[in-house]
Amino acid sequence: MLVFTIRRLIQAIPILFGASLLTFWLMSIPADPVTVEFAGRNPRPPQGTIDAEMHRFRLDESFWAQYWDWIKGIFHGNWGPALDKNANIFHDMMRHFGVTTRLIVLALIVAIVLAVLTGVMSAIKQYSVRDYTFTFLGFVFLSMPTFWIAQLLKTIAVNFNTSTGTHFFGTLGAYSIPQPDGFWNRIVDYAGHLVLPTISLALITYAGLSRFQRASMLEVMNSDYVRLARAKGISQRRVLTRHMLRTALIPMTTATALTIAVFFGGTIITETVFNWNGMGVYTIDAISSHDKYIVLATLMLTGFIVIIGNLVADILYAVLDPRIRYA
Amino acid sequence: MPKTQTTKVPTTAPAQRGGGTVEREFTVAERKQWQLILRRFTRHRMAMVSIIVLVLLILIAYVGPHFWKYSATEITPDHAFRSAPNLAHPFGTDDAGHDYMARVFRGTQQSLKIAAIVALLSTTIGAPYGAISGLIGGKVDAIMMRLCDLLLVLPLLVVAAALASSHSGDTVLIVALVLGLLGWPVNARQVRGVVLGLREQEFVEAARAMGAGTWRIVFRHLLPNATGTILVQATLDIAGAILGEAALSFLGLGVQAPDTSLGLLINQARTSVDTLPWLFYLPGVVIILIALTINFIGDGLRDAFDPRQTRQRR
Amino acid sequence: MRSGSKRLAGLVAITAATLLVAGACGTSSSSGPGQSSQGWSTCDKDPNNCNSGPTKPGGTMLVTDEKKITSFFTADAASNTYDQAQIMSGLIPSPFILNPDLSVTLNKDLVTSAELTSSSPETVVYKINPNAVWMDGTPITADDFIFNWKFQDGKDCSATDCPVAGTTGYDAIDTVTGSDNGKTVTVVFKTPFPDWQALFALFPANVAKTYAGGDIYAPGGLKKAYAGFLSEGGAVPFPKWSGGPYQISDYQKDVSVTLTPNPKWYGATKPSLDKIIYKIILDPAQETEALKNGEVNVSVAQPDGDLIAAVQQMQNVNYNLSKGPVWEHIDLNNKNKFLADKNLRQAIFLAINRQEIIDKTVKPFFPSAAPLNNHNYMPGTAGYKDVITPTGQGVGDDAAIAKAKQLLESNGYTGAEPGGTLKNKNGEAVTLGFSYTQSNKLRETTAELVQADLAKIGVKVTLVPKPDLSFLGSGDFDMVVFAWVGSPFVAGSKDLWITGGGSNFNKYSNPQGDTLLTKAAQDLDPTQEAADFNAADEIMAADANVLPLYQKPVFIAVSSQFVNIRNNATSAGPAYNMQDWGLKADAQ
Repeated sequence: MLVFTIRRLIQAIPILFGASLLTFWLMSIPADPVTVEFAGRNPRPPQGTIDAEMHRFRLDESFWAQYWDWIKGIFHGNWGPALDKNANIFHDMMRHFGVTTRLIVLALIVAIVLAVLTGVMSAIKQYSVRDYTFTFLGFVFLSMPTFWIAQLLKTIAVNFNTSTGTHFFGTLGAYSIPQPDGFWNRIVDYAGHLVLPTISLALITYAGLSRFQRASMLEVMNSDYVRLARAKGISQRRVLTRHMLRTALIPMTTATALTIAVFFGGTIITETVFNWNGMGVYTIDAISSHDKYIVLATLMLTGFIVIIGNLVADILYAVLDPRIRYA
Repeated sequence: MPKTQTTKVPTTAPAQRGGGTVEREFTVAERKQWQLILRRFTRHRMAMVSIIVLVLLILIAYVGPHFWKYSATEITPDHAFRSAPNLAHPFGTDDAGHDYMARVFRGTQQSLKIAAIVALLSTTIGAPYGAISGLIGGKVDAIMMRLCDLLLVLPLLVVAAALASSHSGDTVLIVALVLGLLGWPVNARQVRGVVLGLREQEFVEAARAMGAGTWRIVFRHLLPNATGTILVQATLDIAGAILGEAALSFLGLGVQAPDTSLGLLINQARTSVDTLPWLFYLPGVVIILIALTINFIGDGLRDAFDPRQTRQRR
Repeated sequence: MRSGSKRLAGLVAITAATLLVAGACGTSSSSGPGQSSQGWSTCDKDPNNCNSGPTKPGGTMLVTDEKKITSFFTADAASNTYDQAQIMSGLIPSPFILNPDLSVTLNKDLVTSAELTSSSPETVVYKINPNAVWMDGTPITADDFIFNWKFQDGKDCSATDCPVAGTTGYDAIDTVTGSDNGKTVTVVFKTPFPDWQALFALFPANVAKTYAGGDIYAPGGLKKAYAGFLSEGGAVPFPKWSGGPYQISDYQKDVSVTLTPNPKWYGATKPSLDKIIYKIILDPAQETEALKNGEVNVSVAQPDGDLIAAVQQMQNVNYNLSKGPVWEHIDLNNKNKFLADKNLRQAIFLAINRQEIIDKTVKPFFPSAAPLNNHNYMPGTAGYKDVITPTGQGVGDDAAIAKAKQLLESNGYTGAEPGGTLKNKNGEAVTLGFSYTQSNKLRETTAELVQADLAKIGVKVTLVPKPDLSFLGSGDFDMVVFAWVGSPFVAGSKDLWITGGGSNFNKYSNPQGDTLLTKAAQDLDPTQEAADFNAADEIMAADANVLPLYQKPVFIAVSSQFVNIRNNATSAGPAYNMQDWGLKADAQ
C-alpha cells in the first residue's frame, strides 16, 4: 500500500507539470493580457509604458523561456507577474482557497447527511411512494443547472426579505459590510450569508451521492448475510444499524473523496452568483483578463487536489474492501 | 409475475456423444439476454415515461420551427419588445424583439446537438481506450491511466476560453469538442473497471488461446459485455453535456451569439429574472426536462443491466 | 404511485412559484416616464443641482465598485480605471471640476484662481488657496505641482521606472516655478497645450519625499517615489494621506474600501457622512439585487432595459439616466481592400439607418436618445456643430438607399440591389465582417440591423463576435462598433483621427484633415479650437471614416435617503462632489 501511494504521488508530478505546460500553451493562444488591458483606451498610454508592461509580463521572451522562468520562479516562491502589480499570487490564491474551503466543508456535510438519509430511506422501502418521491426530487435537483438553482434561491430569499422586512438572507459575499456589532449579531450575519450558497451546492451534490448510497444499500440488503440475520429473527432496526449501514457506507467514503476533488473546480458558478471571493471567482477573473500566471497557479492547486482526491478514493477502496489488492 | 422460462424440455433421447443437435418436439423458446434486459427496462415506469417525453421534446424542437411562423433570428415585424407570453407569441418576446419560442426551439436544437456529439465522442474514444488499457494491464495500463489523469486535471474553462477566442466560427462545435475531449477519460475509467473484472473470466482466456488479437478481444468480447456500463455512462455524458454547456455559457465561454443555445438564452436572461421572468425560466425548464428524462433513462438502463438491485416489484 | 410523488413535487413547486411571483409582479413594459424617477424630475433640465438639499450629520453610504483594486495610484497605467479614480476623488485635489452638465469650473477650494496669462509662450498661473493643506499638515504648494509634472513628463523618469497612464500635457511643459512661499505656481509650456485645465490632479510631494528617502530629484528618487505610491494597496495597505474631503481608513482586499472624513479638510463644505464604503461587486447583474436588498445605496451600472425596469419598481430608490461624453460609433477599416474605396464607405454610411438602431437598442429605456452628429463635441456644449446631417449619412431611408445605389453604380459597382450581390470593378463580391464585443446584447442588435441595412445594397455582412477589444490595435476587423470615452477636454481627440495617430485604428488618412487637426490641438482659444476641429471633422465626415451613432446613457441609482449625490457622465463621475454627499435633512 505504501509503495502504491508513493508511486502514485511520484507519478503525479509529471502529470501536474504536463498539465501546466498544456495550460501555458493554451493561455498563450488568445491575446496577451497587456493588449487586452489597454485596448480601446483613449488616450492610449505612452509606448514606453506599454513596452514596460510587456517586459514585466515577460512577453518579450520566447515561449520556452517564459515557461522555464515560471518553473524556476516557483522554487523561489515567485509564481509570476499578474496584472495587479501589488499581487503576490501565492498569498492571494491561498486567501481565496480559504474562502472556498469554508463554503465547501459545510455544503459537503449537509450533502452527505442528506444523501445518506434519503438513500437509506429510499432503499429500505424500495418502490414505495417515499422512494419515488425522493428519487424524483433527487433527479430534479441533479438536472438543474447550478446557476439556475442559485438564482432561484436568491430570488426567493430576496422576496422573503422584502416581504417580511427582515434582512436575514444575505446574497452578497460572506458577510455584510459594514459588519454588525456584537458577537452574536456577527454569527447570525455569517449564517445568513452562508445559508443560500450552502443550500445551492448541497442540493446539487446530494442527489448524485444519494443514488449511490441507495444502490449500495440495496446491494447490502439483498446480500446473504443480511438475509441470514433477518432469518434469525433480528429486528429490522438492529439489522439496519448493526449490519447494513457499516457496509453500505463504504462506497460513500470513496464517493466523498471524489466529490471533494470535483468540488474545488465546481464552485465557480455559486461563488459568482453570491459574490464570494473564492478560488472559482479568482480563476474565472484571471481567465477573462488573460492573466495566465494566476491561472497556472490555480491549476496547480486544484490539480493537486484532484489527484490527491482520486488517490485517497483508490486507497480507501482497497483498504475497506479486502477483495481488492493493488500490486 | 411469471418467472422467465429458460429450461428446455427434451422429449427424445439425449444426443450422441461427439456432437450433433438435440432433437426436440416442442420447447419453450429461450429468451435471449437482450429480451431480458428490455423487459426489465420496460418495468421501470419513470424511464418509459421519460423516453416518451424526450422523443416528444426532440420532435418538437426539430419539427416545430417548420410550422412556426417566426424564425429565431428575425426581429418580429409587429415590433413586440419584451412582451409577456400571449397568443401571438406563446413564449413572449425578448429584449431585441425576437420571438422567444423560436429562440427556444433553436436553442434546444443546438443544446441537443452538443449533447449528442459529446456523448458520441466520449464513448467512441473512451470505451475502447479503457478496455484496451484494462486488458493489457501492467505498465501500459499505468501510463494510459495517467494520461487520463492529465486530461482530467486540465481545467475545462481554460480550454474553452482558449478555443473560444481563436475560432469565432462554429461555437456549437467548439463547445462540443471541448466537453467531449475533456470528458472521455471518465468513460475510459468506467469501462476499464468493468474489463478488470471481465478479463479473469474464461472466455477471454479461451479467445486468447484461439489466437485472437487484442483488438478483436476488445471489440468482440469485452465491449459487448460492458454494454450496460457504456450505455449508462453515455446517458450521464448527455446529461452532463447539457448542464456543462449551460455552465460554460453562463460564464461566457460557451456558445456565442448570434448562435444560440439553452445555456446562452438563460445567461442572456440573467438580468431579467424579476422583470421578464419567462425569458429565464422557460429555457431552464427545457434543460431540466432534458436532463431529467435522460437521467431516468439512465437509471432504467442501470436497473435493466444489473439485476442485483431489483426485487420483485409489487 | 406516479401521481403521489408528482403531487408532492407539485406542491413544492407551487410554493416556490408563489414566492417568486410575489416579487415579480409589476410592469414589465419599458414605457415608463422619462429618464429619471419621479423623485428626481428636475434632473434632466438642471443636472448640476439634481437631488440637491440640506443634509444632516451622520450616515453611512454604500457605493458599488465594479472592479477589483490593484493599487490606489491612479496615475499608473494599470490602476487608471474608473472605479479606482472615483474612490481617489475623495483624496486627490484638482484645480478644475468637471460638472454634470459637461461644463468645467474652477475648484475654489484648492485654487483661488488659475488663469492663462499669456499665449506665447503659453503660461498658466495658479494661486493656491492659503488654507489648502495635506492631512499631515503640510501646505499644498508648488512643490506638489513640480513633483506631479516631473514624474509624468516621460523624460525625468523612464517608462520602465514610471509606467504612467499618460504623459500628454506634462510633456509639453517647459518649467514649473513657485513663488509667494510656494502658493503661486507659474507653468510655462514649450508647445501650446489647450487642455491645460485637465492637468495637475495632485499627489503629495512630501509623501513622495518619504518614499524616495530624501531628495525626490536625486538619481533614482522618482523611481522610488513612484514605487512607493504604487505599493499603496499592497505592501502599504492603503494611502495614509489626503488632500481632499475624505481619507481612506480601511481596505479589505477584494471586498471593500472605507472612507471617513479628513479632519484637515480645508474646503468650504465639510463632509457630513460618517463613512462611505465602496463595496466591490464584480458581477454587475448582482447590483440590482443588492440595491433592492438594501445592501448597496448607490449603483452606477451599465443601464439596460432590465435594470431600468427593475429600478423603477423599487420603492426607495431614485435613478437618473444622462447623456455623457461616451459615444457609440461604427468604424470602417480603411485598409480593407473593399473599404479603401471612399465611394463604398460613403454608400455604406448612407445605407445605415441610425434611428432604427437607436429605436431598437437604447430608446426603449432611454427615450431621449438621438443620433449624434459630431465626432468631438457633444450637443449642448459650445463647440458642437452638426457635421453629419449635411452628408445625408446615417439616415438609411429609401431616398438614401437610392442615392447609395447611384453612387456605387456610377463608380463601377454592380448588383447594388436588395438581396443582390454587390460586386466591385474586378468582379469580386463585397463581403465584410462586423465585429463587436460578444457579451453586449445592444451591440449584437446593432450588428444585426446593419447586416439587414447593407443587404439592401447587396453587401453581405457576417457577424464576428469577439471576446474583447484587443483586436483593434492590430487592425483585425472590417467594420466594428464600440465606444469612445470623450471629454470636455477635446485636444486629445487629435490622436483618433490624425494620420498615424495612436488611437487611429482605422488607419484613416487625409492630409488636409491632418493640417487642421495639428492646428486645432494647439489652439488655446476654445472658439478657434472648435472651428478647426469641426473643419477637420467635416472633411472626415465626407470621407466616411466613422459614423457616430448615439451618446451612451450613463446611469445612477441612489437610495432616497441620500442627497447631493447625482449623475455625472464625465470621467469625474458622481464622486466629483463627495464633500456634499449626505443624509437628507428630514430622513429617518
